[in-house]
Amino acid sequence: MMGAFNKRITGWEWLGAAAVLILLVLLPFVASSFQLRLAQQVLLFGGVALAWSLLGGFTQYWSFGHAAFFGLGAFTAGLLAQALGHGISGPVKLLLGLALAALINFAVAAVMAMPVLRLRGTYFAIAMLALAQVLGEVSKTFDIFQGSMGFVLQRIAVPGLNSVQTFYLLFLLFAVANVAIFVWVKRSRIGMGLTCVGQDEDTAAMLGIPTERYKLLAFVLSAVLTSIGGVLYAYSLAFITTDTVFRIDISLNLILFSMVGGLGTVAGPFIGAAIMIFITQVVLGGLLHLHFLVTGAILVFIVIAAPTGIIGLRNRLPGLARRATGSEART
Amino acid sequence: MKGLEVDNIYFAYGGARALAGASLRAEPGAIVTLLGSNGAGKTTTAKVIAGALMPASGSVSFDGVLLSGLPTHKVMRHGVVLVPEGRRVFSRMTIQENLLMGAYKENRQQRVAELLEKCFTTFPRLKERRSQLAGSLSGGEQQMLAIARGLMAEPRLLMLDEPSLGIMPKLVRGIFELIVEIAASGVSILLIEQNARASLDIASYAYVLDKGKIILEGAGRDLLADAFVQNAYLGT
Repeated sequence: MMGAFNKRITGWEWLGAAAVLILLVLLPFVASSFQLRLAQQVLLFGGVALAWSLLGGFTQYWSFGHAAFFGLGAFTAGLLAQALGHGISGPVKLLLGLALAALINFAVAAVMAMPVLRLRGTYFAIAMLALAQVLGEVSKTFDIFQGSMGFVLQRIAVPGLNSVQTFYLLFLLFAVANVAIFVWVKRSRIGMGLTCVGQDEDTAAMLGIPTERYKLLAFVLSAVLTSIGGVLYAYSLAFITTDTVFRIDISLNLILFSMVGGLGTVAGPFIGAAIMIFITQVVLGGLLHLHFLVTGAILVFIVIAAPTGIIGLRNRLPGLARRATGSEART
Repeated sequence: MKGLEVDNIYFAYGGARALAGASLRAEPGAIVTLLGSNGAGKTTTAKVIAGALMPASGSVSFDGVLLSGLPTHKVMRHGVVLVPEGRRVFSRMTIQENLLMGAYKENRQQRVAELLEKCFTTFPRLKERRSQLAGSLSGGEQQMLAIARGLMAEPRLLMLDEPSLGIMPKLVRGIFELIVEIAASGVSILLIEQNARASLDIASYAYVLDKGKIILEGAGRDLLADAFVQNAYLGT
């Protein structure tokens, strides 16, 4: 009966997803190194944007500081790798880094959730922005975190693949996992509840939805997945400082990608990431100083012309057509 | 005791006192109306009962179960449902989705299907439009949807905050008839209305709230005839 929410995933949709996945797995063996680097970013940041959407897309609690979790993940992995020393192999360090980053971000998000999730709208956005700034400053200021000097991470590559191919496939795995989690949450009772929170939180509570618990869950899950992205990113760069991971443009891009593609949809963040990364790095590849200008202009355009993103546009057009035929039938 | 018991509740928004010792009762199947001017504390009373606001002191219980202190989403599990002022439907969800959210606490799919069927029998207009976005409905239809969504929760106490506010006069009568029908099925109704005459007409008991206190109470018909009520709320 909840069928109105979870339409069954059709055979065609499974087939389409499988086809896209096969193409994505084959891509590193045909694409150039430059193309693959672009695809890497689409998968990684599209995946992180989807993690951001677990909170922002459903509940409309827009975090302007998800770089906090991204950076915290990267630094956890970096500091752990350094502490472990050279005796341990790269892949093992990576796995331990992922586990520890997930644990630490789980704890930090659970503690931060109490004060910040009481705030709504702009206040929440600004609190998250501040959290990212504070963590960035802390990592830079205290010598034990080495944020200003940075640290080196061991290069990792699967035998037979170069480093770019290896990380492309890791990012793909990350993106697929996030898609699976997102789809599962969206189709669950929790997802329905979170969607109601996004529309009218007080009314949602009056209908029996445990809003506080669901928001906490979405916030923590979003933070943990974002930190996993941060760990993978750190290893892919092999050298990080505060300025490479605690970046406000990372926080803002997550929102931008989600909005351009379609907020609250599965494919939206990836479509948004693909479009924005293509525009800023290929079309404007030689005009680096114009990035922010163009990004800003696109954001303004999207908000005005297509507030539901590219995917929303696709859904709106058949809707318009249907309405048109409906009125014809009546006349 | 069966039904709703509100005892001596106090509540303040920051420093502004909204309720100063309000008490009221509603028996099963009774329509109880709460009258008062703007700012008298009517909506605050409903919110305190629903658990959306915690009273500073006093108690709320329903069918002998103490509710004050429970969070909203737990209060409604005891059958206490508030249809808030201004309808508050989920405008970007379809009508059917809105109704299903009303039955959120119900885990048995079979039961949800029955409730939806029953709801569509009562509100055939909502059935016709079930796949439309709730935001596309008129104000009156949204009010019907809000009430229908409340009924999907199988309330034993249904609180309606200003259900006729901003509704076409033609539809208002339909809403009041519906309220009488719901009460006849054994549900207690707490009705907050600016349309004092219409609500006193259908109410078995009425309370008049002023500055957070009950200043007058009695059977609906007695209050209709009361000189003070006529003067202050009926404009005669």
